[in-house]
Amino acid sequence: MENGLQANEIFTMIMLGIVIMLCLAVAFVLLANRSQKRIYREQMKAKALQLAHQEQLLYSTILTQEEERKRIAKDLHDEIGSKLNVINLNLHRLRKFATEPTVITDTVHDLFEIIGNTIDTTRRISHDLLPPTLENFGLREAVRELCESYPGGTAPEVVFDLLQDHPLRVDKSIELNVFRILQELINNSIRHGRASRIGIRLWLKPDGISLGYQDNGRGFDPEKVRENPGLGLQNIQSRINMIGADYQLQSQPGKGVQVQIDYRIHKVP
Amino acid sequence: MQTILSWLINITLLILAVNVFAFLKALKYLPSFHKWFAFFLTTGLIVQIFAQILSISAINNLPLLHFYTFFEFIFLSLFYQKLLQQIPAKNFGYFIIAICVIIILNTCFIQSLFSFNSIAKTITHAAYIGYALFYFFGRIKSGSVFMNLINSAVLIYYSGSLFIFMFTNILTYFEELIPYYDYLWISNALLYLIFQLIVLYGLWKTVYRPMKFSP
Repeated sequence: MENGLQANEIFTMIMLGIVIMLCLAVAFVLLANRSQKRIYREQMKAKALQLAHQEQLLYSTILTQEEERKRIAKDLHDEIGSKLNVINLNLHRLRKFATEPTVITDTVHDLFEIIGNTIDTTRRISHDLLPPTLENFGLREAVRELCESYPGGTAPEVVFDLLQDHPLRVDKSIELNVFRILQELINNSIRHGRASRIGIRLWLKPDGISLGYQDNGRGFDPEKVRENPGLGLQNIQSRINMIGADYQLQSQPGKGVQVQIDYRIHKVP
Repeated sequence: MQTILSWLINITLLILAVNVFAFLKALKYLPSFHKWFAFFLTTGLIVQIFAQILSISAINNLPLLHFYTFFEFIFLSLFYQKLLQQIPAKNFGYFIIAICVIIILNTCFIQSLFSFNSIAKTITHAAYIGYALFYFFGRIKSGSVFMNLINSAVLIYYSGSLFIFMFTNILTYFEELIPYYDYLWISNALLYLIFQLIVLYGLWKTVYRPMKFSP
């Protein structure tokens, strides 16, 4: 009997051990399953946010393209179209009154003036679309030229500081994107920031480009802007993503804007 | 009691046969290292069939358990070696060799071919529990549904059966416990049935059902 009781106890202990081990295993499986579901949900949420952000960037890119097309169409219509109309009218006048020498001289003089203006306008539009300096002489000269186009006075004063370790020429599309980002930053500083002084530091390193930018404008709360960014900032973000650069923006109301952009050549965009 | 046990064994054998067939057929859709799990299932099926035949013929089938323990360990370890990438393959290899040597030494010098190899079984079961836990800790972010199910099956079956194999030899010392002996084997058969059902569910859910609904 005593022996039987001992045996019973052993059996109970074994069964208890089996049940405990089984419960632990099932609990662990359920816990792991729950954790995995939570991680999966978080990953899905992060992916959805990323997707929404990408959609927003794509939307802003399309919108910027449309704005640019509108501007070009307006320029072509208002500037080139109207001048070509005047040329056309003058040519008709010339044909009609070709017998009067004074009229011929005056009309030809007017025509030369209008054609000269049209050539200048065409050059400006083409320059806006793709700056020839950027195309022919690279980012350094294009930024220098851009800064010089703001002479101070009523326009803001733009101070350009170039640091160059290496006569670097990176891919043209990278240069164009950095240039466009800079144009957008200057545009934002003038339009929204009402800045009177802008500082640009371009550092051409052997392994990439660093662009430092600051203004003395009104500044803004980055948190509020992050929630509802304007087209300009979204455009900058799009271009930053496109070239695979690092981007830091600091600002406070009343304390201007500071931006740092670092592009490394080894990064695959 | 024996009837329940034999029913459970026969049902499990049937599901195991379905699993082996389904797994071998699904191999072309699964990463190549799954072949080790297919080998593990196939070995289990062959050993179970022979064990049944020997049992009916009233011949001691325990030598089969010794062979099964050895091959089961090799196949499951090679399967997990590919999964547990946080453990260096070289160290894992040394571990597999060391346990294989222990299994062989146990059979040669401690628990002969005709006795129950509880030491080898306990060591290998502890190793499988370790593999499953390592997998859950290491691959929780990236594990597939199929692998999670297989791993859950491994953890549940081997955790549950660890104490059964550990104490089987001890129970034989107590005559009073012989009536309870069947309860342990019924528990083991039930756990093995659950193991096979989870594997079958995993195959159906992640391999066969998506194939059925794919265009």
